[in-house]
Amino acid sequence: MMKGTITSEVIGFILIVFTMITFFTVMLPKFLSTIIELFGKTSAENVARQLAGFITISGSASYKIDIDYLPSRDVSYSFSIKSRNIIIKPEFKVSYAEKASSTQPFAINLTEYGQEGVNHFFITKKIDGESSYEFKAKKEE
Amino acid sequence: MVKALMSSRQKKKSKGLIISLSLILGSLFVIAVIGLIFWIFVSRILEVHVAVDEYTNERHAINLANLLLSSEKIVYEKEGKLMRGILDAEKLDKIFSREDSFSVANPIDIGIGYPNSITIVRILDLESCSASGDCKGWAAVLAGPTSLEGLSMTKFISCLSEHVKLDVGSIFRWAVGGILMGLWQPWDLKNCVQNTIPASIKSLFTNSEISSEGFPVLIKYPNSDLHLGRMSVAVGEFL
Repeated sequence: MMKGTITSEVIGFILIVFTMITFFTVMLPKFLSTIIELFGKTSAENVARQLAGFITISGSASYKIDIDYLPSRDVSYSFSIKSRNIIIKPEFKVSYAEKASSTQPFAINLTEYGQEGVNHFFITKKIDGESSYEFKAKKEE
Repeated sequence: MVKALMSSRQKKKSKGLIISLSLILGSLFVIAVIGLIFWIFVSRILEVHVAVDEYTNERHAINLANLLLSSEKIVYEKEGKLMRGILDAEKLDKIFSREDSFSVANPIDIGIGYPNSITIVRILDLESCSASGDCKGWAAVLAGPTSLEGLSMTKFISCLSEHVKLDVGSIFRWAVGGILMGLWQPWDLKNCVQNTIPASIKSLFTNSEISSEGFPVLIKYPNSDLHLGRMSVAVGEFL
């Protein structure tokens, strides 16, 4: 009777340990990685960095370039462009995340402009004697 | 009676065995869980932070160089098309300064440059270099708009020019003893940052091979000669 109790308890422990190890080594990293990836893609800092980079690098096109960037369909942003800086603010549903905004610099002249509730960004550069740049955004469902 | 006593002793022995096995397994499990949590957080979260924050300044220098390599302000045009990477010597003469007239104190605005930053662009004609490494070329200081409170780019540039003017030759020197010459010296920057920039403002300056070695370019002269050259871009940013 006692021998049986010990064996079942040990087997139980081993099963729990095995399950937990599988959870911590396979499932949790995947879950965490998905959360981090999602947060990384949609965070204000990442979106602002990407946009500032795209705006600057659009200038390296020697004829014409169109860049469109959709970081996420689920998260909307408000943005403003001022003094070669882009300020991005995500419109998260949770109140504590609303204040997380990011300002990133870019290196060309863009008209001062701002918009709210958008998630799809368009950057266009054309050369017609001189380089001209256009930045637009809209809400994509 | 004796049998009952023996049986009770055996039970006690078995109970001790169960407790110690459970304790050992439990402890091992707790250690494993703590170790795993530590490993997951260190490996995943640390990786994200490093990827986001590293080398912003160097990336900006690369972006600026790419922008300049396609800018109609300095690039050679043929039949209305910009020839990326081929610089027009006539355009350079109009916008940039030659080695005999360059001064850090005279920044120019060509609509290219990061805000709250100073950029030194150097273009060297490598086919004109002397045996001592001095080359002919062009240089310019590009200034972007300033939006940081308390930051005076004029003061900083003025300080930098006081130090760099003694050493202008080094800007047009490609290499000395096989070592590529950088556009600015760390001791000049440190001195000027300490004296002219408020302590609350963070300063970042490019200091890698990208800014020293530069990008390969061709320089097109009015007589149709094409010379091999290098364009270096050094960026100093204030955050």
